[in-house]
Amino acid sequence: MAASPFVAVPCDLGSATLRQCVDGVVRADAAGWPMVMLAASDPTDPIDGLALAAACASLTRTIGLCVRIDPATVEPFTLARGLATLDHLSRGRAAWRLAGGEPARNAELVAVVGKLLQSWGADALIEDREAGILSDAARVAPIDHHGAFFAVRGPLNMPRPPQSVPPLVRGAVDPVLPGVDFTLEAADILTCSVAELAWLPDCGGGGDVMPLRARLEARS
Amino acid sequence: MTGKRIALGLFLLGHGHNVGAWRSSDTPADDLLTVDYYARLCAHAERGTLDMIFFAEILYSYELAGAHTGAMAFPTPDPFVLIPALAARTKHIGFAGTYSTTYTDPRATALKLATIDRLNGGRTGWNIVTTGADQSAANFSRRDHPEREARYARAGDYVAEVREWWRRWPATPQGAPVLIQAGMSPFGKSFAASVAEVMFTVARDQAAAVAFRREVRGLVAGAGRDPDHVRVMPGIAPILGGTEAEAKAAEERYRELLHPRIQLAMLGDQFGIDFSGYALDAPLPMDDIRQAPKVLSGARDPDRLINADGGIPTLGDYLREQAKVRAHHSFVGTPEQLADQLGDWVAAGACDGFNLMFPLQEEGLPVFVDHVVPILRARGQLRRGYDTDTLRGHLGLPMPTED
Repeated sequence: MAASPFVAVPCDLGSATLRQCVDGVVRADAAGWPMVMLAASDPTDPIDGLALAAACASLTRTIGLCVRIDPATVEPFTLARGLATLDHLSRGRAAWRLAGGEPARNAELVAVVGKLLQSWGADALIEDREAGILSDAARVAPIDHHGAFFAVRGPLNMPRPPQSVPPLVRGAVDPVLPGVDFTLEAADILTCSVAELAWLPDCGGGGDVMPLRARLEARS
Repeated sequence: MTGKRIALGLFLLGHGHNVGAWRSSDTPADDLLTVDYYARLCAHAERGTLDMIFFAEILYSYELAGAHTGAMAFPTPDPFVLIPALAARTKHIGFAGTYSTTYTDPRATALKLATIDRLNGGRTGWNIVTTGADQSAANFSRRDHPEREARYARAGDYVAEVREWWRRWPATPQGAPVLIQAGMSPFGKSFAASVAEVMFTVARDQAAAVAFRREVRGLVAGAGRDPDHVRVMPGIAPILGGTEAEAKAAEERYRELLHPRIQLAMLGDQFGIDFSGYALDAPLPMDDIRQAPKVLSGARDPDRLINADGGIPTLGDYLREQAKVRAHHSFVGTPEQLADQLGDWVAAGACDGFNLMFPLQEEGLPVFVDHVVPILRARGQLRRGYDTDTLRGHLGLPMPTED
């Protein structure tokens, strides 16, 4: 994959407030930037990336929102529900990165989350009012996963998100995971601070509303 | 005339609390996963100066005899992702969401709530549940759903750990999110007495609600806390009409939304039995229900199915009863009558406020805001505009103390 400095803005909160961070993402969206990666590096003042991304999602239109996940304690069902909700609410703009954790467990976590996100067929919500059937049982199936780390029956209690599975990003310090394909590598990511978000030049990528995954795949 | 202030929450669920609401709404079910759908409802609630909007959490897919139950599996977003998205589109109203202490990690939950409370300026509450639905276990690498006593033991440690994390991180504008509890079992009440600032309850009638609130306030005092620092808020499902006859007609129309397939699915989910092969005019199969492969307690206790006179209702009769909004108190009448009843209950000490559960949200909420809210304001029972900034402030609760 050719390195492009214009793919993502990892937004380290530093001393900025959450409000300043949201405002910065709104500006980066208006300037047409494709994706922002939301993370806080200060362990005494951590943030939940999903919550911050959700606040950004409802105030922006096209920018991708990459969430840093702490995989050490999260259950696949909880993570799949959070990512699916963000992808739905942002109309296909969610992305995720696992920071830390143990590689073998992370690999299984990614696999189970992927199965859960795809446990509803694309057109399972049929809304047959006469027959009283909201979703088609034939198009929603348990995943019945039994692995070394997780046993998850499924299905997810949410329809398939717009991107099916949001793009997975591998940060510079993140290990390769066995059997896992990353959509984006850290080498493609430009680093800046929240304050610098205000100074980003117009990058001309706005205007088109399409799922983040499709944008990332179309850029090369 | 100045009456006692009535706390008001809005419980948003799918198209509404009638499980067949989607059969009537013009809103496609896909819209239940958009910000815009909820933001429209939030705007009505904020116009009506309600205290908070509440979202439940479901940790399994409705199913029957092992198969996905397509009749009632409406989309339910993760409340801790939905709430920050909606808070960004509102200015004043509070938000509360359910998260399970049985199936999540305390530090992760503490971090979600702290981040949301900082983002929305102190407008967040957490409905602490131990998760009653045993179907959840299989989605969380557990062989069995823990028994209630074990779940509440964990909940106590869990909440203590959450508060410890909150003390370490920067404080939010309301000190910390408001703690809410909804269980009414003896374990639930004792847990609530030690930590809850708001209790969501089920009240069948005013007398039962008065007795419950009196008992809870005694337990709170016994735990060394001030009973005036706890708000008891039963659910109420209002069906409004310009006249009583109009309201009754709406009730009938709502009842017809519950297609038999949906009612059987609800019952099947409740007991883990496929009821589709049973006759509607025969008594409920109590022997089969008692042997159902489910944890049957509380609202699911089979003895609660039996009539006061000891008779066993038919499956058809029971389904008609279920057509009312679950076990919650329902109201059918005019805005004036509803305002009277809300005021009467609070004046009688039955509760401090209500959690509004409209059978069809898009129909019931605007009518409530346009026709009930002005009456409550005229009686001094509801603010005319927000004069506080945080959920704690709206509810008149003190800042959290070190304990």
